[in-house]
Amino acid sequence: MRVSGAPALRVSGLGKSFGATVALSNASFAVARGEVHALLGENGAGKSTTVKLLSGLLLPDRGTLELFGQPVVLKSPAIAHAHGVQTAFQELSLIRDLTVAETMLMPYAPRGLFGQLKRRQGLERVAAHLASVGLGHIDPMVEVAALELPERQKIEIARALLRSPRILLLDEPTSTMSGRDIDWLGEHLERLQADGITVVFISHRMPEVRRFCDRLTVLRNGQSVGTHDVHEVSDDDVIRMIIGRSLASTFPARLAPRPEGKVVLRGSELATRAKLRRASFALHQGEILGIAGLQGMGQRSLFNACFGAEPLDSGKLYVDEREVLLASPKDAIARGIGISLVPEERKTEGLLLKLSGRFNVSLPVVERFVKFGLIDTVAETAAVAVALRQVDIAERALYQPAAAFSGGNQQKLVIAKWLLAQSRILLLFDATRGVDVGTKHQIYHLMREFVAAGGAILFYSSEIPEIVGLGDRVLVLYQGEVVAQLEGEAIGEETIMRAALGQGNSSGAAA
Amino acid sequence: MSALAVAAPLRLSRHRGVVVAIAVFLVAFVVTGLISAGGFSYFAISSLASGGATLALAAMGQTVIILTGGFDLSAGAVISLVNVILASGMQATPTSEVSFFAVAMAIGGVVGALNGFFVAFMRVQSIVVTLAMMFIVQGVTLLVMNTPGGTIPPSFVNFFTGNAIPNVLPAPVVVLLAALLLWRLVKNSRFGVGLYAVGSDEEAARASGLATRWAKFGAYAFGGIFYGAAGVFISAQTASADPLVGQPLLLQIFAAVVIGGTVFGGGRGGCLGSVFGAYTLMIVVNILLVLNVSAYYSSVVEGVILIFAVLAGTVGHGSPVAFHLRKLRTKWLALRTDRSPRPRAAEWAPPQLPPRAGAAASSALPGWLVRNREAVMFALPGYLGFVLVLIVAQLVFGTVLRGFGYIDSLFVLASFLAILALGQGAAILTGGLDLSIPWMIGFIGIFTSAVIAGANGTALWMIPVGLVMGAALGALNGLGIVLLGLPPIVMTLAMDGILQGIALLFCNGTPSGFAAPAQRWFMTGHLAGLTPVIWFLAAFVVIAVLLLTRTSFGRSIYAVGNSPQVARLSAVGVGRTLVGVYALSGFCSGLVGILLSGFSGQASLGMGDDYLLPSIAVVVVGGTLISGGRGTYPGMFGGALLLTAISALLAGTDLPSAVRDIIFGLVVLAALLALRERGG
Repeated sequence: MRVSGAPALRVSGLGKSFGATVALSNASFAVARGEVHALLGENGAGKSTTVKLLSGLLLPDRGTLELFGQPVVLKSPAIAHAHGVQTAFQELSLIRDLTVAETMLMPYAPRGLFGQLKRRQGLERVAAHLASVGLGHIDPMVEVAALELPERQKIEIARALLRSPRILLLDEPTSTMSGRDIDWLGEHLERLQADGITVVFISHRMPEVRRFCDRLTVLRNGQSVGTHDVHEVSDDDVIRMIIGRSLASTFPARLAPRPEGKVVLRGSELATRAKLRRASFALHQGEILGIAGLQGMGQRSLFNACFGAEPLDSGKLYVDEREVLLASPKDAIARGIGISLVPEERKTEGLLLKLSGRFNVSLPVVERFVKFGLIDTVAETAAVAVALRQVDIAERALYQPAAAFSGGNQQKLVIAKWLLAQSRILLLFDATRGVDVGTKHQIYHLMREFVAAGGAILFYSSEIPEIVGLGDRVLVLYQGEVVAQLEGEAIGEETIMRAALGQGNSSGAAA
Repeated sequence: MSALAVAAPLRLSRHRGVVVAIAVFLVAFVVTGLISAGGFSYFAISSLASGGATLALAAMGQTVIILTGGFDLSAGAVISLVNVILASGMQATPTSEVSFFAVAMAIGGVVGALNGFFVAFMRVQSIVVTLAMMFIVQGVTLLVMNTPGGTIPPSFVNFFTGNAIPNVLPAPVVVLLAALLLWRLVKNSRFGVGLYAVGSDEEAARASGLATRWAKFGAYAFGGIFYGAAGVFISAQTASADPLVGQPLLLQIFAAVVIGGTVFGGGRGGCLGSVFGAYTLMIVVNILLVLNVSAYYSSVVEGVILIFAVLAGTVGHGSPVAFHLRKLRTKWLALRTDRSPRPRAAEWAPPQLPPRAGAAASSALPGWLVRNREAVMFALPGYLGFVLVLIVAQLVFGTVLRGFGYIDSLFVLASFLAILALGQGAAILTGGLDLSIPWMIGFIGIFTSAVIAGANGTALWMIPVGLVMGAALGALNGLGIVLLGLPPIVMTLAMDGILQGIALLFCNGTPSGFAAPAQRWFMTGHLAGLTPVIWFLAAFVVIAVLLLTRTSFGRSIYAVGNSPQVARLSAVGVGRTLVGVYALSGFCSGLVGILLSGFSGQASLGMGDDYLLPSIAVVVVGGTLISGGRGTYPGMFGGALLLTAISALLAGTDLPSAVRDIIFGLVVLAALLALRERGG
């Protein structure tokens, strides 16, 4: 259904860096008019940066952007809007304190001669639009904060449609959606295609890409690695393009089955005020226990609770089969407990970017170096240097700020921090997000070595293949409960996805 | 249709703040009518309307800015400036009156626009920009008129404070209705929605296509116009001018805004509530007067009301109090039932990983200067400026090299700022601010002097007691910030008001007693060629540097300042650190209060007033990032030397002291711009 003429969107040699971190190094692709074009890649491959560049939220360091044959500079979202580019963001750009109508109309609400808002007219327009996109059940007068996440996601998309885009960017629209919502999205994509509107669909789920899209472009490590017709390539080809090698050679070999280690961390019917309902698990010494689940199924609460960072509403936590109450992360890292969390967001959760690697690595246990009230910096530096060598980071991290390191090395700094704290149990929460392929590989090996040396790892990833490749056993969370436990041959992307979508109690081989 | 069913109560909850504010106002109004002599007579209502209108107008302006997530500390100073300009220039002709009214609005708008420019386009924190602006505007005000005086034409007075319709409608009510109408019109525009959007979620607003910087800029300019109106009204109400008339208003303005249901941080609230908040506050203070409670209590009451109003707006499950109570309960349960995470016999040693194959062997680190280049770069300007000012002083007055006396007294004077810099600096490093410094100094100084009453023996135990009191009161600041989740400037501003009231009550308006001879010797005597305090200062500097760099408390301060979230997930006790920082600041303020009493022989009211802006200025000039996380004590010390040298230089000229405030304000703004964080 392609129309001739200049492509709707052409990106050439686009690049963007933040300090030492290269978010996008060289992206080039073209999107034909009226097609649904998928943009694929791992977390951190540069998809979100591309979306921000196309939406006018960032200006590129290099490279050019063409819309319908015209070179453009998108200095602000308003300019992008003027060119007919609309975006439904993954992080959502709805204003929680405004009503649905206000936030959908902002900043283009209808107004009268003196600048006064025509609220009734705006309200009617929003109500009519919501009804036309099948969201008539949502009251436009209700505050955004009162809506559930999937509803907000749909309103985010509905708002982009309201502004009659010529090019629509959908940034991971399905990450919070389940089956019926995805059907809803499909209907609208068909309608858009019939109207000749161009859609860029950012995702990393192959089934949806096959269902909705005409062509796909893959980004890896900030570079575009190719554009193909969707029906020309197999899933394996796409995966190889996304991760840069075949799945088989990516992950270190599992250890030969050994006598099962003793249980070091056990949760019994854990529940928190947030999403966790009733989750039980047992983590053995010497294993990587994978946790899988769609976004928002309680995994974050589970990890936080095990680290003392979120209070438990009910349920019990056992370390070495002795019940413990963790009031704070300080309790979790105490000697004899040794639980540490590597969070997904290095910038806001893992590291103090402006401070040196030494400061960051020794921070949790700096008291262990205090002599006569003062920190013995010689001993501290020596200990940090050892930890840096364990994770293979240059010694300049002793005095250079964490911001001077790439995303992957930053994540290794976080791991070094917990090695120095003498952790026995690592909780890795989507820890490879935004990490380049080479470093990812190193982290996988570190994980294997850590458990081989007698540690234990609880591992969540938003990339299902990682869980398949690394987990000795896998638990699947659905709506705050463990709905499946998989072992050995039963661990596979399909079995995990089926359980993660809440389809049937496909309990694998029982323990 | 379940969404619709849920919607009704939610819509009401959106206006809960205003509804509560009006209800509280009505109760206060009825109570005051019942207990006061005037009852509900027209005269009583008219004078009530007139008495609260200035505060109401100013609170409306502040509300607009708070809605966008900012703070404006320049409000009181703008009101003072408008007041003195009207009183010194306005003639009793309609043309003059109308044009001066326009000038008043313009002053507010222009100062606001300047604030807005720095906040929105230079992206500097609103609190410090507006604080510097407050001192600049206050200095200009004092240059225009440095003692109360001047007159306002009666026709102007009558227009604003008389009757719109005799015995039916007082003019102030009409003024407020006009102001509310203006707000109503603005709220119902794209700009109005933008104000709420920016305050609620600036990133999302920008992604939606809103020009967020212009929205913020507009908020400060528009809010400033309300301060201009407040200045006009207070001129009419008092019929004369007082260059300090706006000073006590700041605490009241914040209290009025919060009582009115506007939330700090932005996104929720509105000006209607603030008007009722202003009148509620005024009535409550009036009730105390009717009940014959000392007027000294009023600032205590305002501070307490402010704290409780913020609290009332944030109670619930998600509140910091609930969070901390829960944490304490967990700890207690763990201890009591033997489920605490304590070390056990090392059955399972932590896994040791080998060094990676490719890892470089340990090599010598580069030199100290290379490793600390950034810190040196930020600390240097203060010292360079200090030397520059000394050279200027030598060239102009020739005093610097005329013996050691000049340098000696310079360091004595610098000791106050150097000590305050540690407390204020630690607070700023954590991303906060301590506005309670003036009356922390004043209260501790007055209290200790009164008890010591010139006796060395008493001083021996009273000085430690004074220092502990300072630390304890500072810790209260910290507890309010941590447990109640109050913004630091609100908590410390309230504490400043409370301490002012307590100090006034304690000495009944006139400080008595005087410092011990030993205290005076310490500040003015000689010890091995120097004033004794300079030896103390040297030790203090060493301790301060070690405290910030070589203790785990110091590390926690930097960690919290860079990111409380990362600090928490790195097992740093964030709450404990904050309480410690404000206790440290209280301790330093108390110490300065005691030293100042020794320096001048006795304590006086307002002895700490001159130290608020300078305490912040030295920290900022010393290269500290005002939003926290970056800065060194040696840098702050350089800032203290520079500012003291500037003061000394100015003291040698015949320029009025107000010039000093203007210059300090400009220095702060310049330092903020030069040393701010660049890039993303």
